Amino acid sequence: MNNAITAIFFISLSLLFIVLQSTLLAPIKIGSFSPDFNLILIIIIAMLSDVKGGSIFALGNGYLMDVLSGGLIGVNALSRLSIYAAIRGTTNNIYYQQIPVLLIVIFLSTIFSWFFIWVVIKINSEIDLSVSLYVILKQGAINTLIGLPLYLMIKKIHERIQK
Amino acid sequence: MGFLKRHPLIIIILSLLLAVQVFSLSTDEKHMPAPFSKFILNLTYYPQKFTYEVTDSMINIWQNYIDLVDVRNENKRLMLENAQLRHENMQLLEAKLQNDRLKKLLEFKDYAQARTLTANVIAGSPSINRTEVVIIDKGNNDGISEGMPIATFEGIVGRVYLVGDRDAEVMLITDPLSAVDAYIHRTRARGIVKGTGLGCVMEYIESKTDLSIGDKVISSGKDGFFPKGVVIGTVEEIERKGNFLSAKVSPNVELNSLEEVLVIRDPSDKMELNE
Repeated sequence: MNNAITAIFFISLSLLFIVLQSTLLAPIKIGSFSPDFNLILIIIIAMLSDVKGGSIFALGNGYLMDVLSGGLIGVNALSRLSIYAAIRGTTNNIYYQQIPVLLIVIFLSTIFSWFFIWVVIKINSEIDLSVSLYVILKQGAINTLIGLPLYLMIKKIHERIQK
Repeated sequence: MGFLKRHPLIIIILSLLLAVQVFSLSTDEKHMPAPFSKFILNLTYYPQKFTYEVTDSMINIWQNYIDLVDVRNENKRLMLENAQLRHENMQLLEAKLQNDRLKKLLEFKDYAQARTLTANVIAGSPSINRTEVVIIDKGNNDGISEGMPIATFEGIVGRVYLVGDRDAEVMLITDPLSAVDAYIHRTRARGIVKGTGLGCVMEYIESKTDLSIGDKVISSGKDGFFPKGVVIGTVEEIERKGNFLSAKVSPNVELNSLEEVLVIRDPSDKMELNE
């Protein structure tokens, strides 16, 4: 039962973040200062070790992003799945209790997300990624600043659901 | 799911290879959006429209009752008038250069009024990586279909990429996948205006062309999507690329603050205005 409630909680949160990110916090309106809430959510789910079906959630969330951002189906979905796999596979959950580790994980995941898309675009070299390293680093910093309190908050709610 | 934890590198490499393949298929012009994509577009319509309505009415309350009511209305009217005058001015300049087309160009205005549909921009792309997409509150039920050009009185905005029942996704001219066949207004030199993500660049302009910073770029109507003679932007920088010139073009429409747009419902008829 708790697993079902957890799934509903994260799906609702994902939809809420997508709507927020496409309306009030749309990157086209507020520029690269917009935090990537959906990416942060994937990172948080990957860090919370007891969430079941996280990879499907990452894939689904990425697919939603793909559809609503111009139809390059698969790019966001697969980059998010990769981020999920990288976080789950590289470090033990115990380390995520430490704030500096959390900060590093969120920052590096943002950079990884851009790197993934950059590689995909570079191989299909007709289109350039018109974003500077400065913007990517700034995006990483914004996601980290927003991601940390969001992680702590979601973690608390998640623990309450699990009880 | 233990596989994910044990072999993250394999998952990443496989995802990357798959993404490369999927990306090249998606950028193919013949690519058709999946039916499931339409379902997602329909699903997100109501929350997006609700957020738009709430924020729009809140902004309106603030602007109409707290801010300077008359000044705003006057400003709005003057801005609209200004945009229409600039549009007319552009048409007159066009007529000055090629007088025999005057009648046909003026017909465009009547055409634009008769065959367009006004839509509100209710949302943008949620992706940080790809922002040059907006969602409008008109869809299949209003007679919108994929490929229809979108403009404002100030110029070209983009074209419809994906259509839901009540909403549609519009790819802006600044999107890296966008390409518009265009002319330099002053010299009639032809080229292709492509999106770069941050702006536009006009490529494949013949190197002998007389091209200056400040030249207006207009649509040629030869790509089969956009009507002829609509302003795209202004040349900002010129660069030589092999046998061609390339010009950085600043779009005439402020794409980051779009509120209302015009959907040109039947651009095929416009093709009769071609030379």
